[in-house]
Amino acid sequence: MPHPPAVRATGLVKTYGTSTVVDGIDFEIHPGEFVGFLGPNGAGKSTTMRMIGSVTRRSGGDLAVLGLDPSTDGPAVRSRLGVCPQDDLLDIELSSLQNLTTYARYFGISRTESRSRALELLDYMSLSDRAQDRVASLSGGMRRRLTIARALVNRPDVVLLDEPTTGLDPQARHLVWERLYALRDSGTTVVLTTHFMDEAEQLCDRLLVVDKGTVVASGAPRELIDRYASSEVVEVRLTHGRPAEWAARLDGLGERTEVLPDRVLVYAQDGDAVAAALERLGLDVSSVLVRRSSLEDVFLRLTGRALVEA
Amino acid sequence: MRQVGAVVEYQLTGFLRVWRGTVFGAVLMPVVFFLAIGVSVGMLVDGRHGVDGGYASFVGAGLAVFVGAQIGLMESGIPVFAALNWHRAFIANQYTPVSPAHVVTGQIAFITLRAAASATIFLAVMAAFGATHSPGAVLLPLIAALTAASLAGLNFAVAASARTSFQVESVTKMLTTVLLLVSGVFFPVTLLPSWLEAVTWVSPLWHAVELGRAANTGTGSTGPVLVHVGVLVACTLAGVLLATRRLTARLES
Repeated sequence: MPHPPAVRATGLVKTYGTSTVVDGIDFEIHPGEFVGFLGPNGAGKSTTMRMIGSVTRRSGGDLAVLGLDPSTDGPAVRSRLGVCPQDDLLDIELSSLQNLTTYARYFGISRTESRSRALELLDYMSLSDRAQDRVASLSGGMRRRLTIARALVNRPDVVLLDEPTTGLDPQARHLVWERLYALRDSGTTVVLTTHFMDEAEQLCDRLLVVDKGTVVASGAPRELIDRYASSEVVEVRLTHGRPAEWAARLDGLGERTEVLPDRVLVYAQDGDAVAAALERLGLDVSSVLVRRSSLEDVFLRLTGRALVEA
Repeated sequence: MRQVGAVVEYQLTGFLRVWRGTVFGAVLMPVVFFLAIGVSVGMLVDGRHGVDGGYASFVGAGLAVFVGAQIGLMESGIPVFAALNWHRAFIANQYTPVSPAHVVTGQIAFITLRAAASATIFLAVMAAFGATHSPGAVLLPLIAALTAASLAGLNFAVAASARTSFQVESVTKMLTTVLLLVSGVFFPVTLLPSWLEAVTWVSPLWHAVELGRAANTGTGSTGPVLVHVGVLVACTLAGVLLATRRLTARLES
């Protein structure tokens, strides 16, 4: 018999006054899956995470987390979740160790066990040498790792990570990624929001692209690229003139073209063929770059390039 | 109950890092008041106007209870605002099985422990100056704790609703000052004009001060004592309910 979904949302809605932030989304997350929510700021990702985390009440639709209704079984749901919120929400006056042990106590974990788990997690996040230091003295990257460690202190069935690597330097990001790979391998269900396409592509089994409160696409990262972008992209820069002025001459070279302020993108199955055709056109090209389509191409196609501030 | 204990433990962990900074306000200042007014001025005050057992004893019992009121108001003001808006520990709590009711109850429980501890030190100073007159004086820390609880809930609700720390500070200071002046800590309220004396009866601190004096002198009769305790317990319960509602609304907004 198949396992019931770890999270199931049907027609999930969240409104604040007259503003609809989440507009009837449907999704299922299965036990052991690593699922990412992608979307621009204000798309409704964090609100969805807050509803799953039984912190924000839904305005409509159905939501089940680990078979429970977060609206009526909030404490029971939260006892089985680990949450790394967008903001660290650490107590900067307490030490790293105290932040973990006091938090563990909220889950009814004994004092001895809390300390043991806290030390284990500090080691796991390479923070053992800062265990006794006040959080105020830790760098942003260390605080983020500590926040992730805190999310694991109750050994949760589902982990919610809201932009876990935002603000981290590359070294810290890669350390966090390693730990998240290990989490994935351990069979823990993980739900992640991120703005980093490489992070989503590398970590997630499946992605839900959210825009304006609705799910506009879902699937494995490679599936999304195959479905919504051509195999390759040719980036064309000309020596003179604005791209908008000469982009029309590139029509028909690929499946579609997109004009950016400094270059034109030509989406095609065979980038080299497009490059050869460009040469035949005799344009005063300053550079031609042929690359594989990426998740970022998919993301921008689905959610647009216009900056929308939440 | 387990979650309430965890909230108390968290508060205690933070307090143990900063307790030295709280000694002056919570303990030394009332002791200075006691010595300056109760002992020194007390030498000039005779036993008229209901100041039984000496003025030092009269003021001492009032100040022991006021220690509770002061801690109750101070610790439910800015610390609560900070936990929602600055370090945001209450926001982090949302992701755990702890509910707003647990947070409010835990915070107030911690405040009562602090009030009882400070009042115990104050009681020791009173005893050293011969200002205790009955074995019932040992109840003063308990009464101070109940006083703290009776005021903390209301101020918690204010802090949970406030938009700025200035609002919280203003309300906390105003309540502390007004209550100190109209609750008979330094003089019998019977000396006030009759209309103002009637106002003092709605002050939880006046009920606490009456209870404290009855305990210190061993002269309390059952009826008034039950009324005073009843008022303080009712204020505590109403404060917890109000604070829980305000905190829930704040966290859901």
